[in-house]
Amino acid sequence: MSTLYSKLRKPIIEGDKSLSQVTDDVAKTLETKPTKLWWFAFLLALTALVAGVVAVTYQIKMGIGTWGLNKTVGWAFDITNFVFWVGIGHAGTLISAILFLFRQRWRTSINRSAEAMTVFAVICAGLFPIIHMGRPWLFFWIAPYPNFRGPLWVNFRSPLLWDFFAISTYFTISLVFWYIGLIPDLATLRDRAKTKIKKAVYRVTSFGWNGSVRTWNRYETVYVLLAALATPLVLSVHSIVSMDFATSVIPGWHTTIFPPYFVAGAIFSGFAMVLTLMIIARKVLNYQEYITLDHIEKMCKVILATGGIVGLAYATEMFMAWYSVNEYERFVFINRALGPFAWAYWIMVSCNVIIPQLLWFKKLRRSIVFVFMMSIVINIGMWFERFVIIVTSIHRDFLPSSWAMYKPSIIEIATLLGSFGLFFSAFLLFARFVPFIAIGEVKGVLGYGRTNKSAPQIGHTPEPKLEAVEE
Amino acid sequence: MSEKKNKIYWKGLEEKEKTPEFINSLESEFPAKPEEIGEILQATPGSEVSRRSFLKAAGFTMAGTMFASCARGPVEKSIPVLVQPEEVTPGRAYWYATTCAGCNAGCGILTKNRDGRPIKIEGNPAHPLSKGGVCAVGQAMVLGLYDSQRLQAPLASGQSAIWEEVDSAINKKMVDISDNVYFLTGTITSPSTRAAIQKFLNKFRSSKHIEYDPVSYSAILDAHEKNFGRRVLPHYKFNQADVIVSFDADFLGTWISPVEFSKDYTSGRKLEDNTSNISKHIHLEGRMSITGSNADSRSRVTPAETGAILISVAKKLAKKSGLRFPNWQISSILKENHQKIIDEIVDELWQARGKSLVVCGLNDTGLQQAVNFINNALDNYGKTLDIQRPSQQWRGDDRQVQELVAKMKAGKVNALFVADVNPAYSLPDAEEFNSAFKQIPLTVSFSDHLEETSGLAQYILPVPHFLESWNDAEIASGVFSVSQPTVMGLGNTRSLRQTLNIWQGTGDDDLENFKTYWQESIFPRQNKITSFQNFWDQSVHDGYAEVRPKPVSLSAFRMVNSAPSKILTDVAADSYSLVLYQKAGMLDGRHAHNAWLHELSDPITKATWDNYASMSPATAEKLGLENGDVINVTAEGAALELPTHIQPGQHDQVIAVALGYGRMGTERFADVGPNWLEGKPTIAQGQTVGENSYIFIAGAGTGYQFNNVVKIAATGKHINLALTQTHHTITVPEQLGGHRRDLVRETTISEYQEDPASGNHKEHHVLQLWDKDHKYEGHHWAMTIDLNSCTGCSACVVSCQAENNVPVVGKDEVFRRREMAWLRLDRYYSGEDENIDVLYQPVMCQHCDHAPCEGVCPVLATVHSDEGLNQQIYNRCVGTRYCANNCPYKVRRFNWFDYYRKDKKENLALNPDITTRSRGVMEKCSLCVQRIQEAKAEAKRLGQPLADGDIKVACEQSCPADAIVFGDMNDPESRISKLINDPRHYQLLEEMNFRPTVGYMTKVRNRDEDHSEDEKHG
Repeated sequence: MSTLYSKLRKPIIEGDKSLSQVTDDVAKTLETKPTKLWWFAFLLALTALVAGVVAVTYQIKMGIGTWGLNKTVGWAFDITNFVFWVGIGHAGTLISAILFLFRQRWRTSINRSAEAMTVFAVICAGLFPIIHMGRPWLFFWIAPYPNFRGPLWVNFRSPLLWDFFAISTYFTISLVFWYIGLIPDLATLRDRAKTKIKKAVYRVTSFGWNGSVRTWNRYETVYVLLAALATPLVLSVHSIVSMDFATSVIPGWHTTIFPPYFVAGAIFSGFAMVLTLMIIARKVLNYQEYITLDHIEKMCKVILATGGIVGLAYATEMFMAWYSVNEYERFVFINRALGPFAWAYWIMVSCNVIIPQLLWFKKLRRSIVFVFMMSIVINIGMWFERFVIIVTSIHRDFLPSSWAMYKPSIIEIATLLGSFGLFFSAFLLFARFVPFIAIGEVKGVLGYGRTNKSAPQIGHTPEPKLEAVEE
Repeated sequence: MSEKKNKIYWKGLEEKEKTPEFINSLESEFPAKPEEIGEILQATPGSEVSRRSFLKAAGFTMAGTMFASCARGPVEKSIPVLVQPEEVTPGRAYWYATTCAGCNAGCGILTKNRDGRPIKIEGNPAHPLSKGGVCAVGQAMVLGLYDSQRLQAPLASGQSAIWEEVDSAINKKMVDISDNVYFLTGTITSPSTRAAIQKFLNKFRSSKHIEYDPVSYSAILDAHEKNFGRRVLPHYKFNQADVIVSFDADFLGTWISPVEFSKDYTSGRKLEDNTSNISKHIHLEGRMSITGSNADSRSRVTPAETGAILISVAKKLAKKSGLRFPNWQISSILKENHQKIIDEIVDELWQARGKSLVVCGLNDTGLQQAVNFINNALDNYGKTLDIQRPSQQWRGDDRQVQELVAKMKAGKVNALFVADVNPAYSLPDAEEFNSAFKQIPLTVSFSDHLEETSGLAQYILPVPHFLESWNDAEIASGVFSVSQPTVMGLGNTRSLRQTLNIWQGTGDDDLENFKTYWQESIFPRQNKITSFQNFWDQSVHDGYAEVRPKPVSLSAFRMVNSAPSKILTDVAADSYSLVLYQKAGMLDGRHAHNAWLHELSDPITKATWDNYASMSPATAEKLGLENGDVINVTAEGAALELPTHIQPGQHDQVIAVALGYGRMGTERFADVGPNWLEGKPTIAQGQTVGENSYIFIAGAGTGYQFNNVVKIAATGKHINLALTQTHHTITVPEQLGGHRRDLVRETTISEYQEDPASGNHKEHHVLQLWDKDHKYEGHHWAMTIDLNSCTGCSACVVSCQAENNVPVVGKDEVFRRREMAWLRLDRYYSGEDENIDVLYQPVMCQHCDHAPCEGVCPVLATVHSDEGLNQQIYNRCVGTRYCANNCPYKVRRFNWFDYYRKDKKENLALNPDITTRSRGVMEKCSLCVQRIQEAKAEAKRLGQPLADGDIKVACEQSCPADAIVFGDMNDPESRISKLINDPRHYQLLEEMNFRPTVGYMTKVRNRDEDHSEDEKHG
């Protein structure tokens, strides 16, 4: 069956898919047995997760002393991982909410998985503030709830409390948004399900979706509303996370530029993670026609833009340190670049600022191998950015007598590994049990109902020909 | 009706049927039958115990336990210093005056008793010598009291025994011995004990009481014998001296009587206003000592050069004063640059005749004669040092010890009694001593531990801790300190005096004998108080008594021509001069069982849990060594492997090693600290803490010399040194900007006299958005620390640890920079090789009015009090560590692990007013809030307003330099208010507007120009 395409745009989905083809393509993954590759990846992720669970159990049993922290460096891997994972999450929300509001219809083939990534990343992130506590079994004390201890309230001035609100709100909204988007697809799966159990499960989870126009109408209203709700979170969550540092008095932390700087960094790193995941997924799950080179290139452009902001932020920080004539502030930045953690700083600068400049070249933006490597490099760089901000600022602050070094313990490394294990285990399960691509939404961008009447029907090679418009 | 009466209720068919199994099961429902409890109680099997008699027995047991536990009250006859209670009120602190026996200095102390046990030692402000100061060691003695390894009962050939058996066994052996009985003790400052020993020895022919100080002052005593005809140790008065010249005498750290000297020294350097003058302190040394670090002018010279300069000064002063000094040859040692030092010393001393003091820490009679010559030529005797009323603190005689060892080797000793000294550890030729010791027919040790010497003795008769027994100490002629027991003996021990009295049949009531001695020998030496009972009560209450000194007959000064020999040999270029010294915490090694002292960060090196070979940065660079690289130190007949420690300010040809380490029994610290995956034990299994460096002592036949010539070689091994501070300058590294941070402010006396605010010009204008956001209408507590007085002795650090139940965390945790000390002593260097200045700065929570930690805690676990205290609420803390990260002073301490205290007995030293913190909780200095509350409650009870000085926080109380002042800055008349308005007052990082209530006072050096001036403006 041939489709009518606008000649003005290159179609978003390649392969001239029919509606049922889309359903079949996406549902196929869920209806076949997992491949050996999936099992291999899942076991690898599970192993990392188990290592993390063992490490965290040991740490909770013994104490925070099992980390490499000391009286000077009170946070290191824990909060680095926290900020890193929260940052990863931001791309998903940006893709699903902001790009939705901006009518960026190419988002449809990646929004489902990017949102899933957000949910799992926020779960990973949320664990760290809990396990980083000296007495994690009392973590609920940071929630303002009626109690018999006074009643004892929480400290509303503390950015950690703001974090608690920000992260829990973010997680709730992201989860609801993701799930609402899933409902039509779950109904599709329900209709295709062959076993009774599957049918029953999908019937319950799809909330009795019947595909009527009224249902679609309400669904889309809710979707827009949630997108509007989620949009400010993209900006607010990482702004608040950045205030953990910005509201402190420690040179290198106490920086007013942090909120926009962190948000840009979050989107930067989040898109890198989306790219990592999509490049693998499109190959393994055979979604090359849905997640096309154009998608990848567009994301690369986002990375280039946000990477530019991040680079500007680094330069601004340096400039302000010099311009402030504050000896402590100046020292922190000189110490970052030339002190004992200079290696971490230069990893950060090269991975986040220097290497991404290669994305100016279209050829490289469209090279799968290059973009994949770039996405890994940016992930590493952005992890180090948080490490540099946290550790190099506090390890040498005001009084030289207290200057100290930091070296992670094996428990911390295993915990970091475990968080990746948790993330990938969850993501791999997601890829097996939930439609990886939003079937309902992708169908909307296929071209049906958007026929250009004056345009002639075209065949299977939808090369846009601008001269056709003149006819 | 009848049917109803007989109605049977049943739980199951089995009961209804009354099957045999059911009847059996009924009985077995009660596994512990009353009969069985009866057996336990009455030991008569089969007897029935009724409920009543069981309750009676239980009640009796409970009451009995209560009575038994009440027995641990203080001894009735001791008299508390402030109140005389009819009975002890639980929960209230009582104070007893007594005398510290941490070393021989005999400082007056007060013990704070809670519920019948001492929990804290503080200085006795009324004491004539120590005047309220206590050193770090003294502070730690309360932990020693509860040492679970202190011997509880006598040992005979290593087997636990009872006193009667041991007494009769020793008596039986003594029957056959009629001569050559020796007592080898440390300096016994107790006249009553000395008298008992003398009385005991009088029965035997050619018997002798030999006193031996492991770190000896023998040469000073011998030199005085040569010069004045009497073997006396002068009583030095540093407060009387305008010019102090110290030739390697660490008098503020460990030399003779450091607390008294610190008091005197700093009182001569207090600044009231800009008309004040301070004494001038010139110091020569090879290593870097506490005293040297405080000097106005410090020169680094080898021990040989020290001696040569000393003699050269003596010669020059001889010329000036017209006296004759022997022509001792020194020219080969003196270098060109020494002439300037010599001239400076001679000029300063000559101008301050009668108001100067020269001291020398080298144990060489010739050099000490030269010191005496100088002090005599300058007319200092009777003014800055007193030999009419000499010190009695150290009397050891090296040569007598060496003679004794020779006699032991020759088999001429029939019985040897060793007390208060550990020669098998501290003699350089310990192995010879040990083999000879084993040949002696009767060896008895009066030790409280199984240690090197006592382990070899046939009998160990454990002596009580000084806090458990009566004692006295004549520390200077006519000045007696009294010790009273502050707790019932924790073990079955007897003091040396008591044992000797029992052996001689003069009764086993130690207190009676002690009182009798005082009545006969000390009471008559005064005539202020006529009744002995009153005199006794007064002395015990006060903790000291001052009586007429015994007159000392001295001959006129004369020099004896015995030139120093070995010490004046210059070291060859490939060799190093070894300096053996004592650490302020470890002293001569007698407190090696005290974990607080092991974990006390050394004031200079900031190292814990080890001794090491210190060398100058240039030497380390030359040899390619870094901190912790193990080197082999070899001298004639002795070798040790020690980790390197790089010590700025040390002479390039000097290697300094601390004494007092490598003690037997320190294996016990193997499991100190948390045991986890990456954790390392404090010491390897079967090893000791540090190495015994006494083996390097030289000077056989002449007296012990704490110097030697050594060679060193790298071994390629590495040991982690657990340092509490790893960046040593106040200046940031050169490649990172090289700025000097304005944390410690200093000036010179002349600049200060011109402008009292010199060195402390505040260039920052701090604006307040809300100037009076907190009103602090009642009290507003504040503290100042006078950096000009602080000597770095670290007494405050241990005092804080004792007061606030700060845990010991072990070497590995310290290495990981996780020591828990609430009060740390920051030590910074400034200047280059030759002109290294040392700056000390005690830092604890600064109790900021704008505290950065308070805002960031999500659970309100750290809050501000309406009296300006920054409070930490342990049970609310969830341990995010955000507060510690945001603390600009890094004074917050986190409980990384459960630093639980395995030694339950040592837990008796815990202060019941302070919670012990669990893991995962933040803690920090509270400005001793428990003391503030106690004083406030007491003032309220008395209906009086709180007076300035009523509250003394722990660090302030014990400071021998009176550098710390705590008070209410809302009271305009308080000392603190005056100090805050002093031009020298400043706050750490005041430009950041944290508004700390702890402040500092600039350091003022008595020198012309400031070394660090260039850097300041750099």
